[in-house]
Amino acid sequence: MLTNVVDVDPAAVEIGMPVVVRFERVDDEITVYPFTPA
Amino acid sequence: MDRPVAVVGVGTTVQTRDADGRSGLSFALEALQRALDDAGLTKRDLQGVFPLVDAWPNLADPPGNSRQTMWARQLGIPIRWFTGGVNSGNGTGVSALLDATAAIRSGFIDCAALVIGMAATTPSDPRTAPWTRPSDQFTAWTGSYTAAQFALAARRHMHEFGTTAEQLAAVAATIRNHGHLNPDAVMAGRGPYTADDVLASPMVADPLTRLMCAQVNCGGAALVVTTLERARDLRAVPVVVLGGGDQLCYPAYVEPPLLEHELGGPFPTDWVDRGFAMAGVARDDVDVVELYDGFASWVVMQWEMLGFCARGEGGAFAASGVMGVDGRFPTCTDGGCLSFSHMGAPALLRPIEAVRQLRGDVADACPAGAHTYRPGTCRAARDPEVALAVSMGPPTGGGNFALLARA
Repeated sequence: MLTNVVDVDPAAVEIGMPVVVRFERVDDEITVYPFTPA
Repeated sequence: MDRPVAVVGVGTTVQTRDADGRSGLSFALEALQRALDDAGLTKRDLQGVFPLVDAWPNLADPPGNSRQTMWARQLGIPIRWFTGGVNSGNGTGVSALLDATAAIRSGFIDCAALVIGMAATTPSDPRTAPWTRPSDQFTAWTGSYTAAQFALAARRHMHEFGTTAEQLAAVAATIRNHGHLNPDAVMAGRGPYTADDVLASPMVADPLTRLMCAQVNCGGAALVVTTLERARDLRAVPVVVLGGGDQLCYPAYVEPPLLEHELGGPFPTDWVDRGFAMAGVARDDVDVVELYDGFASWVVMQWEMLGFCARGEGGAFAASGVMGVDGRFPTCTDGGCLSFSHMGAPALLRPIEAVRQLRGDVADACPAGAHTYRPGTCRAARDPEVALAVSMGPPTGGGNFALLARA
């Protein structure tokens, strides 16, 4: 599964970094699931 | 029936960034004619055709554009062997070579052609590798694209095993310097490069810089196989298909490329050992290697898949000098996908270059007929007897390889 990590400096993203999912409703049919630092 | 099988003809068209109005079928047919001419055969000698073109002209929705029925009509011959490995660009590549070999070896047919033509995979074409970004809720919204997906697996390999960007750069520089010397390469004369040059090229998707990523271009290629017995009466030096192997573990490209470790542990590799046993050769017998170098990181993982080094040691192995023309296993000697050609599904070009190396049919900067085997001027392996070709490997969910030998 692919996702995006948002609300973080890309250079600060590292493997093993704790993150939390954030469900974002786009419209009545679509909800996406970016992650943010925990 | 158990008959040795040989490659008797290979052909390639111009590999180009500009199709100049030609269709994939046009490239494919030219390549097929070149391969038949190389063999001294005609289309009427063929019973099997393993084709792939990106579109069939004048068909708005050609779901079966590669299907043999279209080819039977186009060529005006009956086609009696219809399968073709899917694990390397639909009907072409190492999987199809092994399949055609099995069909001939067992007596179903006597002669087959593998043929590919691509004209719609230019860099600006949004269809470039569209299968890596399916329009579903798990991929489409992320903005992901092919290089970014492979970068994830490359980064994971670096994290797990300590593989370095410098090692990836050394791989890319070596392959691109072979392509620099190949007058038929799309990137002919583009080089030479050092590893530092590769690292300094623009970043595409960390850790993959531009010079670590294959181009995408148009072109055609074809290869003809028949029995060794018949091959001995034909004009070209026969190259025997000794054996090989093929393995699929999850839908290649349909899901993002992943390190096997993310799927419950390394995939089994006994199929590779089995392929070498079938061929009757050992890894130390291999003289030249043609890997699928879509990205430099892919090469590292293929060395591991093939068992030339331990899992996790592919970076150090690949960057140790073994891949150069003066190394133990000259690799991607035509410049590979990085510099020679990557026509979207380039799989057939890898065994074709293996055949050309085994025949000694290699153009470079050396004086005619006098290869120096020195990096910088030469891209010919020294008197190779056994070659290995790959057209798919991790992290795409599977792998394959074929072992070929000069008869």
